[in-house]
Amino acid sequence: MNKKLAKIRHNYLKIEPPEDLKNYGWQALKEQIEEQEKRKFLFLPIFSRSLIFLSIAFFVLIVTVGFAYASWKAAPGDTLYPIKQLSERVISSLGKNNKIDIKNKHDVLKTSSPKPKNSVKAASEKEVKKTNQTGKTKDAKLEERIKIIKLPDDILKKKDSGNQSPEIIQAVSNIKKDINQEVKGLENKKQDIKTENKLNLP
Amino acid sequence: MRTPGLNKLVSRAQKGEKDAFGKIYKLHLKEIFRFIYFSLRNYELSQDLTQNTFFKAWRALPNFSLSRGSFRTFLFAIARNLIIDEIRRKREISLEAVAEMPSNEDSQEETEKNELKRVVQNALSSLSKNEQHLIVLHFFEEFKFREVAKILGKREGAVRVATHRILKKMKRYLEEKNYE
Repeated sequence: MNKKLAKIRHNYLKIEPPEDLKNYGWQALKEQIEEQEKRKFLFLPIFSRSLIFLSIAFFVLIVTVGFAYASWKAAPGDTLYPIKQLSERVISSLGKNNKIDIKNKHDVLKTSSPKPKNSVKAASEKEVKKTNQTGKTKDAKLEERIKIIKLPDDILKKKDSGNQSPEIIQAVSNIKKDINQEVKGLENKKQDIKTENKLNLP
Repeated sequence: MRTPGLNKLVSRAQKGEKDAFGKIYKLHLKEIFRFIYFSLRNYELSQDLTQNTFFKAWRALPNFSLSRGSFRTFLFAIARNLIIDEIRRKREISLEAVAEMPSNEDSQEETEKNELKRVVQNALSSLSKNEQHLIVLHFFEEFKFREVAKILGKREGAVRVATHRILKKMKRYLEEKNYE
């Protein structure tokens, strides 16, 4: 059997690699090795893991700081306001001085509202106009009420000319007194509104 | 193949000298290629696996130690692992392709001899891949049983017993085909 296998071996040894592999095989392998060596540094198991971890941490840090910075000038009602509140809470919990926070807020207000005087003036003018209008309506209402109250007094004056019993006369005079008192009170109120309006004028 | 300067080349290559590894490549290219080709019968695939064998050898070179065996044994072990991986990946490699082994004996007088060779080759092909590797490594590549055992990852005694059993199996195959 060994002899027979030796004959087969003769054929086996005749198997030759192709000419391409003989001539350029090593060159191709050398290039493959060099390429692998270049990548080796970046693909070390520990290095690659820490690199991935570092990139994720860096990304998270950038996003957090970016949002905190963008939300710094946010006002209540803005989308970023909750983030601002959160970042303020974090800063205060980290033990930052409150005075610094107040100063920062003052600076923010200063920068975020460039014309505070004009806007305040406009707002106050608008308010005065509104008050005058309401004063006028109040005045008119009082006048109307006085008229209504005085109405029975006129009727009583007209009816005085006839003969009346002393009880009726007494009752009428009482009613007159009440009416007069009420009218006086309403006129005082009217006076108050007028002075108020005068004070409100710019 | 016993090359006196091989160990020196290996130690130089271990230090990172690519030219030394290039010399090792040229020394072992032929035997690694034929070992792979004999198992797979595919020229292009055998070329790829040969390159891959040397590439893996280069990468594993820092871990290689002569105390665990020769560099040649180390190379054949890598090649064998790649062959097994490839066979697991594609199980459709035809055993009939064994008959395609190159032969220059074209004369009419050699026809009978060729016929015998073909039958022996068929007997070899009827063996499992492990058995084929054992025969090829010991009888064709002239590795000692100790070296074959290292390449196959078995004990030397087990390899000796297996060789004896395989030869008997092949003999029986030839008897069945009337080629004693």
